[in-house]
Amino acid sequence: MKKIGNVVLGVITSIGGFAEVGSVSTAAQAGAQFGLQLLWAIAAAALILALFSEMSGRLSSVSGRPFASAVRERFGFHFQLTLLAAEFLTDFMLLTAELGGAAIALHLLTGLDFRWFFIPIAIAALVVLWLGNFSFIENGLGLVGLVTLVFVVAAWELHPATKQLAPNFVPSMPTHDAARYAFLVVSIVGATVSPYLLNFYGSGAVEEKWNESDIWSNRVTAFAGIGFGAVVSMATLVAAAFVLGPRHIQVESYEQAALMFVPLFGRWAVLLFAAALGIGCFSAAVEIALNGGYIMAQGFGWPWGANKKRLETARFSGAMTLMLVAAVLFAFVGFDPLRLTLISVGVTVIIMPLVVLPMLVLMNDEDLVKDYRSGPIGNGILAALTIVAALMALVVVPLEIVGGG
Amino acid sequence: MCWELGVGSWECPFRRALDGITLATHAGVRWCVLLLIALLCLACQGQSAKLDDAQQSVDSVRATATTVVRGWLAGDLSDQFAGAAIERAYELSEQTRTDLTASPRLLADRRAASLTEDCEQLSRLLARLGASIHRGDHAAAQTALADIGAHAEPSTRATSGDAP
Repeated sequence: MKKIGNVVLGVITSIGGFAEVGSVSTAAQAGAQFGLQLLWAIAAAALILALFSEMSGRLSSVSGRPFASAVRERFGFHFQLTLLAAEFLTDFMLLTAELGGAAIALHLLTGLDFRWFFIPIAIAALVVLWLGNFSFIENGLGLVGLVTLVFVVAAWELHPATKQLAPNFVPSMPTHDAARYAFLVVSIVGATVSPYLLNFYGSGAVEEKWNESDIWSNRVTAFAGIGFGAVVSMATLVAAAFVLGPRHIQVESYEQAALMFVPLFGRWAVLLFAAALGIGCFSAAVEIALNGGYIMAQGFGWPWGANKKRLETARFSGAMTLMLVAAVLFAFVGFDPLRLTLISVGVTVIIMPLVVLPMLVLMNDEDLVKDYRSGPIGNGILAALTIVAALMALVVVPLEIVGGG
Repeated sequence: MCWELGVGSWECPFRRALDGITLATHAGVRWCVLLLIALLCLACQGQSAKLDDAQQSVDSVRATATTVVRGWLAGDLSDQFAGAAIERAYELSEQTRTDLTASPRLLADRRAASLTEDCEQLSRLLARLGASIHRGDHAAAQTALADIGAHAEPSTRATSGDAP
């Protein structure tokens, strides 16, 4: 019974933790410019993320090691260092973008320059990171993140017909701006399938002491949680498609994105949008900073764990703190938060093959996953995704130039 | 065949790690380079596409300003949000104008020149709107809104929501 409760909690918090700066901005841009046509991209990206998360959870449950530790053991320190550097860079950029998203949310409410909010947000994140245990960080922030369901309410209120939605779950060619369309497809995948999520999920499984008896709950949490979470992204796209698209409003700033709520929620529109964006981004920022500590500690073999006293895991705690401080300093350099989000999503796509390929090998290593190795279908999908990831990594920079706007 | 990249005896970490799984043959690398070049060629998008983008951006800024001011006049949007949104719209309009004037070749195009003038006019109207919102002057904002509507292209005048 307790396990069922944990699974339900896991699914609910996955929903609450799904929306963040990348998924909101790419879905809003896609909806405003291409209507419902890119719903399939969100569905495909969510499926890929669910597959990876399930594998990462299975690896941790059976081997007792998260992804980064397993990569170090299987491939050696030198390869691990390459992956560590790539993931740290991506996490760092994503963290800056999430801090920017949270700051923009406060800017939307107050009209003050968003840079004023970086330090208060970072302090709040540090308090959560230093005082909260894993369960508080994961479940507490996930539950507060349920405010992002406002996107689903908005889409529901717009009454999209099933016959309008259904055909868009099949990929189709764009009628205009092919480069922009391709760029948004790659961006949606990059925003959804963040490498930090895989290691964070696996590290969480270790923190919560999952074992082989948790294989089924891992599967349900990964697929149901991410599946329902993707509904939030799809709802964002639907709201943008119905409200911004017909008005010819493109999403080049978060102020424009917030307008998608105005016809639906009137004077509550900006508050609800800012709350959803701010809480989603803050939760993601805390998780990314924590994951920064995880990958550094697991990569270098330091003691780690959000459930341990911070001073007992000084280097792990120091790594996540330093990452957060460095991101705040970088944020002060001055940047367009929306632009940085799209760049960080691009960088995520570039490093994706570095993550997918080791996963393929790890999930077939009998020493690590024993009898829970991937079958022919799982391997086939991962091999196909490796090729797709490599192709996307190759085209993302030219697409950013041509279609990035 | 190892992907040597011509850096002395440096060995690709993938190769070491994956125990002999060949990641890229020389032929594979050649194909990748060709694909990359083709994609980079695409990056040199035509002048017409750039102007289409600029036109869309101007239409978007105009529609944004219209929606924001209507929301503000209806009491749905606060002074702070409306002011910030108009300021951001102004920045986007100026960015489009800067992009259009960045290249003399582009500016020589009649459509580009006309778009640049549109941007300038739009920026001026946005500045007026921002000042009206700052003063809380509904009448002046309404006049500026009417001017924005009057300068709109026919394609963007209808702003009522059709289904996508």
